[in-house]
Amino acid sequence: MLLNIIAGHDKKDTTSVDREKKDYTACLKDDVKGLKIGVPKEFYAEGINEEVKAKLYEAIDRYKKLGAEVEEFSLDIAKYSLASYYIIACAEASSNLGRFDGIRYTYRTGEFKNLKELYKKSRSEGFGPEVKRRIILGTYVLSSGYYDAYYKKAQKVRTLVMNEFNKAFEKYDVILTPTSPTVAFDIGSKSNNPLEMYLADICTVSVNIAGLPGISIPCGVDKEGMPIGMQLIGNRFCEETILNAAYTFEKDLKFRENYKPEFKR
Amino acid sequence: MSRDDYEVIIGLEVHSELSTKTKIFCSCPTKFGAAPNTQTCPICMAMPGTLPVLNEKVVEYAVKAGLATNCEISRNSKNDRKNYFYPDLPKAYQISQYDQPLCEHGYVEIDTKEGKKKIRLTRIHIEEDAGKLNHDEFAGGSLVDLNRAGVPLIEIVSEPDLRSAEEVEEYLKKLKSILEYIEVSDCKMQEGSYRADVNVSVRKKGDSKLGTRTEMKNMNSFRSITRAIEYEVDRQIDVIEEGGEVEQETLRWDDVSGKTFPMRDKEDAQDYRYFPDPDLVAIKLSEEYIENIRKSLPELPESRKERYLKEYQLSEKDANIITASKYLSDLFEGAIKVCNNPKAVNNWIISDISRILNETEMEPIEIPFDSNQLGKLVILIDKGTISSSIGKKVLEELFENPRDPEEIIKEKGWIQISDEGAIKEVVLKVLEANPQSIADYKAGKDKALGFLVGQAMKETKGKANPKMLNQMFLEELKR
Repeated sequence: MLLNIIAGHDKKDTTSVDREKKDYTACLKDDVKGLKIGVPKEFYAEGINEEVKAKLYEAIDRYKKLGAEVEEFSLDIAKYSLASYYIIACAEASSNLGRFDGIRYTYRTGEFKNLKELYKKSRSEGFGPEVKRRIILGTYVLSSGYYDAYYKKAQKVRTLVMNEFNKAFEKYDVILTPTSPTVAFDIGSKSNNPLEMYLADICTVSVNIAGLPGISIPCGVDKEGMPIGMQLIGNRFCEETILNAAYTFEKDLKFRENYKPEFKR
Repeated sequence: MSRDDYEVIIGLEVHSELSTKTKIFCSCPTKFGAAPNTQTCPICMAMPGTLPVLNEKVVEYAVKAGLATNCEISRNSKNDRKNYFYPDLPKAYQISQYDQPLCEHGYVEIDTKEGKKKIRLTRIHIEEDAGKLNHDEFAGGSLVDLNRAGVPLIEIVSEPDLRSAEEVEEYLKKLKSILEYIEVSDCKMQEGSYRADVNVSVRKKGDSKLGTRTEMKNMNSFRSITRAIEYEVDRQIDVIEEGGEVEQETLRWDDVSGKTFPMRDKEDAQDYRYFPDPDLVAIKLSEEYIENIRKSLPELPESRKERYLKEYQLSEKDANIITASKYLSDLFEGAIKVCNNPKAVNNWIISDISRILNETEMEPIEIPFDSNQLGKLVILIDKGTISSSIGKKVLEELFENPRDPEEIIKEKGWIQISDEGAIKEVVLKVLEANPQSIADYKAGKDKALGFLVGQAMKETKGKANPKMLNQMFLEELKR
């Protein structure tokens, strides 16, 4: 319902596409017979938790049972997506967050001797560590002498990732992957190792990089009752396909009735 | 070595505000002089979450400028972010164009002592203007006015083809007149809507390598640009003559002291971290779009000048002065339509109107009266309703409080006395009061006649018909 409202062209956002709107509630047909699902084997390789893998294979079997055609294939893009995602996202963030300079709004430091100090102190005191990390990273990859090696290369990689997905969608309607290599970790438990934290995004960032619709739904829980996510990726402007695939799966799995996820405090 | 052994190399970056009704990325008005921050919205104030939408007129105007300066128009262009911190730049980045400007490889032809010369243009790109800081308006701080933030600009970058301050002035005037003709910019220098960054270097004559250049920022009067260049050239030559090296730096010209000063220290060398703005899409122009703009271009100054020489037999010098400004040129053509006396209109523009503009430091665009009123003024003189000296007073009145010249002379009682009886009365009165002049005239001093006519004019407050006065005096003196 929300998608039905926000979909479509926005005159005040030139990056939005002007095309006909679809009715996304009408596409929920509870039927996946003949749906072609691609399973990229690289998303089930090293680094993915065994329990997560097991639940995903169960999900694949469920789709087969429901009449979908499932096939394994190769889509070796995840690590490239992750690298280019963190370069592009940080670059944009470093620029987007420039406006938080203590001049017009948000935090301004108490004491300063000159303009430079006003900027320095306001931003040092106002931003948290993760934001600062991304601003520094983003500033670095856009700096003269590094731009070509990082930002520009990341944009080229982005195009390659899109091309790979385009090829995949010539054969498949939906691509099925884990949402995350592991179940959710404790808040703050990886603050000292941001790289490991960023790795948790490895399955999902491809969608952002390639500009594709994706949906994550639970497909089971692990031993401790933590929910395990399954991600369905569709082709550009094919939200209805993944919504229907997710809906059909959810109806059959009856997650709410059959599972009681435990959420740690 | 002497100064003559050096060659001066100058390149310019001209910023010209486009006269679109709204800003480049939002629909705020662009009018100059409004109360601070009254022409702003969440977009140009850079509120988080807002997105820019490119104003199509800006692209059209920039393409127009490109076509009028013989540029190639890029079919594929984009907007880039130039990142830096300054309080007048609310987003902390300026949306500009980096490696794919809208227009490239053009030229502007100027007249120099050695004849016509082509000044090559590297590029023309579109960008947004920054806001304005008002210093010292209240104790211990500066106030930010964002009315100008987001006003569209074109930056016109020339190759280092200029060789003297005179050439720079010629080039700036030519460029200004082209932009005025195609009606994309008002080019009001006092309002900062036409300003230039000047890059200057010197080298010994015969050297093929360019010397190190310095850049002087945001100059907005022809006079200060000329003075600044002359000062900077002398300074650089002095440095080299003393065995030193010119340092590449940005300078600020101070009009009061007549000197340049470094603007920032070198360790602050800016890295603008340009990258394509992800909030905006690429600009793709079709052949048809560009052709339509090409067809819509009006007659340019060069062609008007040729026409004036041929059709109205204006002198080269006068035609140059009039066509240099679209407003003068329009005034000229409009007035001719009314009075059909090109010679008289030309004289008014070249002498009295130009003089008043100079004295009041007014630009042609600011002339308050219209061509119809000027044309009517010429008719009144041609018909003998007023003398040309009264005409000058009417012109001054037109500058003060523009209205129909006929109304002005009625109101002021300036209608010329052409009544024979009235004139004779004055003549007799003047003759009676000046017997010495009569004697002088009769002794062969022709100057005495001029004096007598002058006295009669004084008597009638300039309203007497001078031709009739002259004639009448001659007649009376013969007796």
